Amino acid sequence: MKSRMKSDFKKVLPLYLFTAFFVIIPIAYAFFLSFMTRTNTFSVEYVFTLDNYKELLKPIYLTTFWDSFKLAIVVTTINIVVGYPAGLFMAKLPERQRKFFFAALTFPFWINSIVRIASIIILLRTYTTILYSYFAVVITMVYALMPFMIYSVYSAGVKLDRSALEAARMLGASEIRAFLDITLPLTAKGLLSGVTLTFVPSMCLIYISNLLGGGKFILAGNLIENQLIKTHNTPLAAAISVVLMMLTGLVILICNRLEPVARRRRRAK
Amino acid sequence: MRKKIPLIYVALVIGVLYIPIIVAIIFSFNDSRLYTTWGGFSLRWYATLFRDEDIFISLLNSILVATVSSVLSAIIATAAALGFRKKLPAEGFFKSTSMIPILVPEIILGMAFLVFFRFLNLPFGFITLVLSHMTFCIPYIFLQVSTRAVALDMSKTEAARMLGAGPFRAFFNITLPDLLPSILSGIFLAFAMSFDDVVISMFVVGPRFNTLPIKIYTQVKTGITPEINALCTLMLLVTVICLTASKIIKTRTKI
Repeated sequence: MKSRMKSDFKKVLPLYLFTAFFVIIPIAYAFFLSFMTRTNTFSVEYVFTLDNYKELLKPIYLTTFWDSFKLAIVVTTINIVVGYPAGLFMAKLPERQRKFFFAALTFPFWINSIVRIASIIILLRTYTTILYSYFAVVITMVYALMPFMIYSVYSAGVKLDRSALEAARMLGASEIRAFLDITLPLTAKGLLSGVTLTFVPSMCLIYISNLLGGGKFILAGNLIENQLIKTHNTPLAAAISVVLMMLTGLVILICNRLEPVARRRRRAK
Repeated sequence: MRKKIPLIYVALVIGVLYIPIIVAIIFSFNDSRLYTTWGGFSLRWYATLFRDEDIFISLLNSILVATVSSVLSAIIATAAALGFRKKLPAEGFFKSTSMIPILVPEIILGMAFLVFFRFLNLPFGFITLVLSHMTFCIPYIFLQVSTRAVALDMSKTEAARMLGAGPFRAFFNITLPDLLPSILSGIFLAFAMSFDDVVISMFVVGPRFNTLPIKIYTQVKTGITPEINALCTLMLLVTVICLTASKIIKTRTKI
């Protein structure tokens, strides 16, 4: 029995080693660098400091973070308003249509995102005057992230037990009541996982802000790029990454917490 | 009419996602350089594309990186999915940490890889691209294969082993054919993710080794030519062929 376990362990060993070496250690190293000192020669000195994090409290960084955060809220809100009903409606369609739209939803994923964005640039440049504006950045981000929202809501929606909904309607609940008491709590999981898939990424899709904002709109992610490639301040770039990583963790945590709350609300009824 | 509203809404929202793709296809055949006028049907942008050696080389690079990363990832992920059918030490820790690359924004990974590979003094280019792409290919393939691996009927393998088949023979004759459809769909997905990656690649490409998305990205930054529409259309064609092939594989294995 013991040798059996040994042979099973051998099978997972490559994954363990690869994950340790190329996921955990690089991230841990970046975390470590965020507490190190930058020398005047653009290299890193292994002396502990909190200066990188203090630097982030300066108004230029705070404003950029705040603006990027606001943009993420705008993008996520539009995605919820448009994508949530789309995902729900899609889940309710007859099977043939559902399968068709599911395929149609995943298909654009297979075409290079930069190529699709190039096409958006061409469209905006030719037919509108909004290229290189805030609005252009917003709609392109909504475009890029919408499939994730629809997909998440749809996955939760198809699992929805329709009998509960029908029973509620039969017992005289209004359409709105039935939605608030049954559909929303039961699809909250999908909605929230859609938010985790779109919120922080919309602070990090640097190629969209670079290509459609004409360099005028700086996302939190652009700060990392600038520090790393233009100003060669690795510790500061690392500190920004740590902050963004914590934000990702926070969003996932909040969404995981909200889900049981939505469910409990339903049970209390 | 009221009953049709959901259908119309879904069709509208998903339809909008196709506008840029359709526009690209139409204008890839436009003889005029301008987007406002139709200069007649022509294949000149395809001709320009095929003469563009840089694009061709970066396309080959991308195919190479995506193939190597997805195949190596498939080996690691499949082995792990088979091993995890039993309870193993540190299972939870590595199962969740190996998912980090598809949960965390790409730019954070890109920066972590850049500093780490610099620290290791690795030559930037093919090796750094493959290593970094493998980190997100592995979880995608693992997710596909592990559900199938858990449901795998062990009695067949055990019977084969009892009848004297070696572990490798049992694996190649029984386990692998059962898992193959999910491994292949995992490889397709991982290939597409690697082939499409911009942000991580931006940080780990080498001065003499470019991938196609990076090449297009720098080109789009300086100015777009209709060549890009031809490229979009060709990619679409390759995608359709690949998806049809994978569908055929799936239906055949079901019978």
